[in-house]
Parts: sequence; structure tokens; C-alpha cells
Amino acid sequence: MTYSAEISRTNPSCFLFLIDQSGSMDDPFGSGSGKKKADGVADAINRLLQNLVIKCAKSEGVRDYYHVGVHGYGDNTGPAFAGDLAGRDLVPISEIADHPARIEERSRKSDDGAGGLVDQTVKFPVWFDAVAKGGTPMCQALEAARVVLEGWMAQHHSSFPPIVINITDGESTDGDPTSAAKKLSELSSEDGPVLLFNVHVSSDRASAIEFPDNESQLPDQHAQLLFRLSSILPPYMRDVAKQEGIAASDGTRGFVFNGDITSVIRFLDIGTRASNLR
Amino acid sequence: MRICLRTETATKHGNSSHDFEDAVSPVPGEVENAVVFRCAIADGATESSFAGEWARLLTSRWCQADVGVATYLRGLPELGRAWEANIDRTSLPWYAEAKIEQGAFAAFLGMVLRHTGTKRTWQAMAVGDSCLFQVRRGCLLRAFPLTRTEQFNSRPVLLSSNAGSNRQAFEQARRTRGSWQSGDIFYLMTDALACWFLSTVADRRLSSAGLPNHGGNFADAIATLRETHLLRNDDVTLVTLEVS
Repeated sequence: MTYSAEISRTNPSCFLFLIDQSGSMDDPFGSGSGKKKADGVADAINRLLQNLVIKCAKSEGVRDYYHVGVHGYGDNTGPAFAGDLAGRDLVPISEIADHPARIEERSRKSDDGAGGLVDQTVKFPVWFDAVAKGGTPMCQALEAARVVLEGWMAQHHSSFPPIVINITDGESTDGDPTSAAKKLSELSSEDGPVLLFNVHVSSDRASAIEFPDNESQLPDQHAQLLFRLSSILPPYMRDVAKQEGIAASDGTRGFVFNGDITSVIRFLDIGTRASNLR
Repeated sequence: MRICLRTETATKHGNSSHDFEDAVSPVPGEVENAVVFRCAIADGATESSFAGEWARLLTSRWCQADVGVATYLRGLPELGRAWEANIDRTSLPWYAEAKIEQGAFAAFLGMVLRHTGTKRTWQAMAVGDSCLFQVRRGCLLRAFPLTRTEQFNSRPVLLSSNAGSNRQAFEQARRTRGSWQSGDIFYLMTDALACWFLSTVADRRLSSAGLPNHGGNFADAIATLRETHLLRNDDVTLVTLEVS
């Protein structure tokens, strides 16, 4: 049975995020607060990294259940961690825990347990900064991802398959990404092929289409292309999606079109929820 | 009322015993001529920090005084503050601080046995998937709060050390009551063993193979069940209460 390997310190799992850093990411999301797409995505990634670190933190330290990488593609393509981790592709979560580029202080409202809300200052570690400049070399990004994962999987051949999440707001400017995506999805551990998911974010006011299971629901060729490049959700992830109130069938793919910041956060949560953490 | 309480535990395979996050109160032993007897188990959630400590605070608080469920639950914010105060926070990294702020979570099951005059009654309260089973002459009379193995798959609501995170838990706390006879056995089990136990009961008859504490080595019996994938790999707690 695929996608069932237990995730442990000796058999870690792997996430690789590919983040579109093209000029248009400087525009705001179509709906909501007017936050820039690049800033919203950066916040979502940093928050996800924080949650992964906390999930793995035990009394003796942070357990390396995960190796995580963030690549940007725009004017430059490659590893996008800031600070001490700059230039690193896939980093064990314990090193991510100990090396944020900086820790910001942000304000948050929380439940005081007596029916009210109270302002709290919380630490917000940052590993990845928003950048928005240049074109969208998606083929180059997918090819670089393939090289990185091929190397990682040579050392972790029985691991839960790596999950690649590509977040983009537009079309590839260096050619049709189909071939590069296919080569990436053909990499496989003993537990199954690499999963490639695509999150399309938008400055349009059109409604998001989340986790579709067929092309006919999609508005144009670009959406249909990204849909075809997205892996089908494995069974455990379908269950996670259903728990979050999302209808998921056997054909549901890990894909969002015209997503807003809420879609991004929900997608990241579903896509990185562990099925089988030791 | 005479109570004989035994406890067996087994740490999740692959963890050290210091990672064990279940708790039981009171300690094993025998009590004679009791009018009231309180007992509780709790199962600390692995992903929260110092969850074992929270589980221990929950169970010992239940046994401290004979109060009703509402009073017990009202005391949790103070207990949560005690949990936090017990943690040595000097030079903790940012993630340990954040984890402590999220609080600790645990499933909880508390029960009370009473013998007043001719009345032999029991009551129980549960939040989450730790379970109580009442057995009489090899027959399962009651299973609480879960009665079917399929019910163990969802994410259970848990009791939190964080006052702001308990709204749903308080609303979903389950309560039940019943009566007992001399010779009845009550088993309290955390979820992994409880789920396995339900799978061995057919038409309310317990399996003739018995529970892992019936003769032989408990640790070996649990190891075998785990190796054959009949028992999910998790901390195991089995409390046996014989009442007469």
C-alpha cells in the first residue's frame, strides 16, 4: 500500500516549497485585506515552518521527522532560506528550529477563556522573505526540484514520498512546464511517487476553486494545465480534506485555482498533515 | 465496599519510559469498607509539551475530593496555571516557549464508585477516547464513552491546560451512571488498548484468551499484539478494579 510509510527520525519525510517570486506577486490578493500576494505567501510559509517545528518539539529537543526546503523562482531560481540557512536545499527541522533568520514580535488576539479577546505579543520567527521581481521560470524551478529530490531520495529510499507544493500567480515564462513536472512526479520512493501539488493565487476577484476532481470545473487552459500537473490526493490526505469540510473523491487533485490567503493556509495545513508520525 | 486496584502500563515502542504520557490515580492497592472510591486515567497528547505532567495533574485532582463533574471542570483553569508554573522556563528556545503557550492536552476518564446503605452505584465522566468497561461474569455490560472500534479514528476533543481552549471539551464531556454488583470488574484503558479490547468482544462475550494481564508477562503480551498489528503502537494503560 502506498503513502503509508511511518514517519520517524530514522525515516523522515520531506517537503519542498516552490515559490513564485515574479514581479506580479507584488500585487494584492483579489479578495480580503489587500495584502500583497508575496507577503501573504511568505507569512503562510513562515507560519507553517513554525508549526512544523512546534509539532516536532519534544522535551529533549526537536525531532527530525521532516526535512524542508523552500525554493524561489523569479529573477533568480534556487534555495530561498534567509540567514544562516541561506543556500541550503533541504534542511532537517531541528536546524530550521535553531536558525530562523530573525524573530519578529507581532500582535495577536486570543481567547481569554471568559468570553473575551485579549491582545498578546507573540514571537514570529522568519526564515523566508517575500521577493517579487522578474519572470516566472517554472520549468527551471521544477527541474531544480527534481535534482534536489533525486539526491535526497537516494539516501531515503523507503521514506514517505516527498511532497512538492508549487505556489504561483501566473503562467510559466520559460516554456510549457508539463515535461519538467512529469519528470519530477516520476521520482519514487519505495512508498510511492513524489506528490506535486499546485496552488494558484490570484489578484482576480473570481472565487477560488479548491481541490477539483475534473477539468470541466476549470475556467481556462492555464488552470487545466496546472490541474493536470497536480497529483491525485492519496487516501489519507482525502480523509484530512474531508475532516476540513472539503468534498474529496478518488479523482481529487492537490490543486487550488484563484486561491486567496485562506486557501493557501488551508492547503498547506492539509498537504502537510502527517498520516503516520511516530 | 472492597476495592482491589491493579495497574499495568507499557510505553509506546521506540520511546523511552520517560516519554510515557498516560497517568493513573490513585496508586494500586486494596481498600476495605469504602463508601466512596474515585479513580481516573488520562492520556497526554504526544504533540503537546509536558503532556504527561498535565495528565498526572488531571488524575490526581479527580481523586483529591469527592466533587461533582461541574466543580471539577471549573477547577481546571487553576490546574492549568499550576501546570504552567511547574515548568522551568529559564533559557528556553522560542519553540519550547511557543509550545508551552499552546498548552498541554489530554484525554480524561474519571469514575466514582459508591456504596451507601443498599445502593451500589457508579458514575463516570469522559473527555476524549480513554474508556471504561464494566464486566460481569465474562460479559461486557457497559462500554463508555466509545462502544465501537470505528469511533476511535477521529480526532478526539481533549482537556487543555489552556483555559481558552476548553470550550468544546466542556460541551462535549460525556457522563454516565450505573449500578454494580459484588464480583463486577471495571477496566479503565487508554485508547490503543481500549480499541483492541472492543475488537475482541463478540456479542458482549469477552474473548476466552483474556486480557494481557491474565497470567504471563504483560509487556510480552503487549509486544506480541503490536508486532501482529492487532494493537496500535501507543502508550498503554490498563487499570483493573475489582469491586465487592
